[in-house]
Amino acid sequence: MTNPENLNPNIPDSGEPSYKEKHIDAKESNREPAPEREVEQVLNYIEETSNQSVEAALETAKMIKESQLSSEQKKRLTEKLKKSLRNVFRALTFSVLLTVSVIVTSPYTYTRYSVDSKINERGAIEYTHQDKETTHVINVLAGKEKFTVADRENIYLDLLAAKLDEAHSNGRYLNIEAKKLPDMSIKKKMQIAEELSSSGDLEDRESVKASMIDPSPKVFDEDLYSALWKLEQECGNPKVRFMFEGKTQRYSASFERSFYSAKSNTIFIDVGSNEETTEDFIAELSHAKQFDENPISSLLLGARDNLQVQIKASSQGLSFDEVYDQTMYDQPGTIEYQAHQEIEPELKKKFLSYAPGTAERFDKERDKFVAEYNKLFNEKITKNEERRDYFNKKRALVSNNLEYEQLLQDEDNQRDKAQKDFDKKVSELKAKYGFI
Amino acid sequence: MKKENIQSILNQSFKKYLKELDEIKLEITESSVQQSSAIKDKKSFKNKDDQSRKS
Repeated sequence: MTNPENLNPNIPDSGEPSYKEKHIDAKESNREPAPEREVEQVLNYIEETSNQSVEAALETAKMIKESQLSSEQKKRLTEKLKKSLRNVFRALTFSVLLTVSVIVTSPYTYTRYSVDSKINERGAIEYTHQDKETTHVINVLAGKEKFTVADRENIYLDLLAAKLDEAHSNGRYLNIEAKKLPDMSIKKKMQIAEELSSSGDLEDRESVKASMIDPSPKVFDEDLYSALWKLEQECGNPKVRFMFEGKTQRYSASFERSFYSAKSNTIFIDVGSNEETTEDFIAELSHAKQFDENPISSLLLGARDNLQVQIKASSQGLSFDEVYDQTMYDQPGTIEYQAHQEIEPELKKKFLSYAPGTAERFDKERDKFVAEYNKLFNEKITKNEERRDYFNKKRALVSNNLEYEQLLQDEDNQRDKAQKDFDKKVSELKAKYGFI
Repeated sequence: MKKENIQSILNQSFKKYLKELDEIKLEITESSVQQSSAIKDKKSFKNKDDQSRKS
């Protein structure tokens, strides 16, 4: 994860507050550091014990060798020594593994947050997350707070960061670092956006989408508010952040959709409609629940899955993401299967019982979409279709790319028709004159 | 998992290991003692036998 404290943009600032200044996370800056010193002490202890074990074994082996015992007796005692040495090394390996788990999971264990609730003057329960941005994000999803100009600026920055990444991979704009965007002045950011627009890296439709999108419901949905906060608490109070088009400038890794980061116990949700964004939030909460209940085993499971995917991708010459998507979600025992096929249905059931009216509203929105999709593309998808495909198709529906593909298809059809007309004319001429 | 827990798990295994090594060493010592006393007994028996022959 990007550490904003290490950034040094070296870009003249107009004096306007940066995103970081507006959204400074008090808890983040006061967070206790990971217990490196403790880990170092344990590793030293393991090394010392390991050295002592080897020395003691060598000494005993020497005693056996120099003794006046028969070769049979020597052989039996050497075997006994080997067995003891194996046992102590097993314990040493186990200790190293445990320590490694502590090292890897320490950022997670140090990002456990609390949620407070109080009764307001109207007699309703009001929830507050220890991380104020999370409180804001969940409140926006329920319509209790507005999706602000700062939120929009942030998702626009995500878009800029994604476009910069693409440009960097083509060797352009290498002097502008995406991770420095949050600290730049608005003027500087606008300059970059204009430059990216003029070079064609940033399409107008993307800017328009970023400026139009709103994940809030039309009015404050009290049931949704209560349901989201209940689920948030039942899944270990993860932090929540908005992001746009699967990219975020505040996280080093880039994914094509919403995701959960176990290291910072944070859910990054892709901003879409209220229904889409809520659906994504609930889906990613299942990972938060997984890591809240079993952080170490989930971590090891995830590492094993990644390794399997890496091996398969390398051997088949496919990309990591491609193999991951094809295999992990439908294969029982994987971290994704556990989250999305076992935990997520339970969370959805709970959501239905906490906010039946909202669930019905979402259902109607899906029905509307399915009808629209099937009509436009002459397909027969159902609203129960697998979530990722469903939303990918839904995004594709509103993007110009598919419309463009449709145009190309029309062009192809016209070309085919022109060819047929031409062939027909040739045949007619042949029939009339016998030759061409 | 705290530092103390890992150290305690390792400590127990290491103590058990040292105990097992001590048992091996004890076995070597005991066997050596038995062997040396057997040799001593053999020698003293031989000496007695020699003396009786001389007499």
